Amino acid sequence: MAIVIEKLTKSYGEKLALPPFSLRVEPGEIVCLLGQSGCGKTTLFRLMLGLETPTGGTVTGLPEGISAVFQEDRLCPAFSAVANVALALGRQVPKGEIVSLLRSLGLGDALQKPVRELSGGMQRRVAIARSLLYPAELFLMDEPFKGLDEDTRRQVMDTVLARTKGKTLLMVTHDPEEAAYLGGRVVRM
Amino acid sequence: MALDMHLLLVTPLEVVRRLFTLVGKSGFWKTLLFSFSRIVLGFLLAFALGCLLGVLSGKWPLLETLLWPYVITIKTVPVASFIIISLIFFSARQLSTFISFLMVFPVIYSNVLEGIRSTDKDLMEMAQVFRIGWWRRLGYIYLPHLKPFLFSACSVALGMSWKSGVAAEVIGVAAGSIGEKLYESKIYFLTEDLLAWTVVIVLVSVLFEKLFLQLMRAGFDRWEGR
Repeated sequence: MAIVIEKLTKSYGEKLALPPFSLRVEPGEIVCLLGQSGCGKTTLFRLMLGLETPTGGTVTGLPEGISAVFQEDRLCPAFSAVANVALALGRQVPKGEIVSLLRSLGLGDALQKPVRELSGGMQRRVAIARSLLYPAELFLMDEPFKGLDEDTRRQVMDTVLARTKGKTLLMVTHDPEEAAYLGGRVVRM
Repeated sequence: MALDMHLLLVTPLEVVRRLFTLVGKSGFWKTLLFSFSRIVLGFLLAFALGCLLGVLSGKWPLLETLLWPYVITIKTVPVASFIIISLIFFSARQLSTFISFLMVFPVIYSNVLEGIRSTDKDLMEMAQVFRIGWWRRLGYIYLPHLKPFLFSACSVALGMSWKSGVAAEVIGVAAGSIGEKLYESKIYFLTEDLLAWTVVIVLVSVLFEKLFLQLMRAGFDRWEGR
């Protein structure tokens, strides 16, 4: 079932956070949202995640399971990478699978360290791993690769593509190259 | 009027000497255990209930509203008034538990509630998106955030429990308690005893505070190191 966003808008008093926006996303499609800061990309995701109520417009066709990579990592700083990922998954995913994905994202040496001791790029990868393992049909990723160096970025993008194959992926980015690499439809906001 | 200065002002050495004499007496440890067990019981009950109700009030604001009049009353009414009123309902031997509980509860409750209220909104949204259950939120999001609030609250509350508990024993003249010893020192002008018992209270209070905070720290470390 396609996700249909129609004239979705959000205002905070006088301030317009998301001007009326419409989009149709087919199941399994990759859509990269490009746009300047403040054009409402993050607000759009927040509305789709049910974290905000729209001022106007509708979103239909959202699947039951939605996973997200937020603009911030939103990790529990005192707990390890494995514990952070496991927290979001409950018992739905075996620990071995969590460890395996974290290793494939280059976090093999940092599995049991509290995430507050990890670098920004490593924390980002933990947040991506959490999102990828969450059982979902739709993945909303808000600038997921920011803070990653060139090589790591390619490696992580490949993992994201492999893990979300057949699922719908909406991604916010400022980098047209990133959008081109992922090979999806580019939508300018 | 001629005053025997030795009676009113004693040297630290005399206090220490008296302290050693007291420690050697058979009744010392019994008296210490009497007060310690009651005051610490009051503290632990208040800690448990303060944490529980603080967390629940953070989840259900209606509960906070319902508890507010009680909490504000406990916070503002002088401890001496509570002690005297409570003597009507409690035996003097149990009074220190109740008074210690009463003084500690609002400190723990208010700090836990404040901690719950100031929990990182970003993490709460993350929990909402990933449908993390309430118990897991409590363990992974609320509890680590509450850590500094709990340490600060306990540090203050532990001292308060001893001060208020001993005050209750003094006013209630609880037989076999440290408070009774302090009361007797006042009646018989035993300044050495008064100061020696005060030193005992300070030492036990500080040691218990260190032990309790250390245990709490170890508990947190163990939980976070999972």
